[in-house]
Amino acid sequence: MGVSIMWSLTNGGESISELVDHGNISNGAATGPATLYLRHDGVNNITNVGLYIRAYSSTYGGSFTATGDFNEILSWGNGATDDAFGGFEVNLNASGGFLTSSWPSRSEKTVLVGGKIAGFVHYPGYGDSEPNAVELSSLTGAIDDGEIQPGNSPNVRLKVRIVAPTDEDTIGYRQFDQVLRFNFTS
Amino acid sequence: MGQWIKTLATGVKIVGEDSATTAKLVSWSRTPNDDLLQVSLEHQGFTLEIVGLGTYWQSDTYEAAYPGPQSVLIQRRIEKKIEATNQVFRIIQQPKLLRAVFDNMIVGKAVPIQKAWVGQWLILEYDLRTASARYYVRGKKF
Repeated sequence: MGVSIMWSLTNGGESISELVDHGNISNGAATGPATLYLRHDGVNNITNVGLYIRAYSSTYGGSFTATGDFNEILSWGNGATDDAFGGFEVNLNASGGFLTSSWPSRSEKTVLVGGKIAGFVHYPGYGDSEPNAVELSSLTGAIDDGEIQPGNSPNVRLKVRIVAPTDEDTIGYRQFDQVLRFNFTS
Repeated sequence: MGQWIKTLATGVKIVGEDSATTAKLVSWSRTPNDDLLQVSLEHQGFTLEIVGLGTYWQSDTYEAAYPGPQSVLIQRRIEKKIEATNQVFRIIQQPKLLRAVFDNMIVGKAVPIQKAWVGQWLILEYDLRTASARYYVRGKKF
């Protein structure tokens, strides 16, 4: 027992205290990526670190339902055609300068660089629950794949964005949680 | 509030109450983990316990979303390395207890240890979300 995670929008910054608003986009477009920083106050490394999304767990303020939004975001990541593809995308390649080529695509849902996960999109069965969390690679600045060292700077970092499928026809706000799963030994 | 207890081969007990652990006054990883006779972990009235001389580990799983409360505890576990000398272990499961006992003299219902398990870890895990416990063998400790 005894470790706290800090998600922040700046290196070493205050913990995120409000929703991260990805803004409004048109069909086929991607939101401007948000950079997220991670650190913890444990005395040891945290391990088994992975990322997943889930239905929004606080008071829902979107246009539909929390469960509906969650399932829809996942389904976008599993779009069968280029026009149907989109979703919640993560770029882990901080050490490579968040290369454009590290963002996923329909034909490459998980991008590997040197055998490490550089980018991915969430879809059913992949990053959709705690057991299916996607390992946080060392490309983020973590000391090893799935392992974050103690310390405040430089923080582990990643970029996230949402791509709206070209053929999406329902306008409205969507909400979901992005979650970090990890292990700790005191 | 809960606690873990390590019982050393000498009979000495090391106790880590959650409040003391959180305050970093006692640490699992920085107290002995080898030559332990028994380890127990109690959380919200549920107890995980392993009995048997050997090497142990303990770990917790958390999740942290933003914004709002972060680092929510979701799983607690204790782990024992399976030795070549271990032949069987018995599992005792009750509403508020999951216990594994390593004792080669056990007569009756017991889990025979497969050769492939030697060097791996027996994990006892309590899931706070479902208030349920399970056990399994894993290739490495968490």
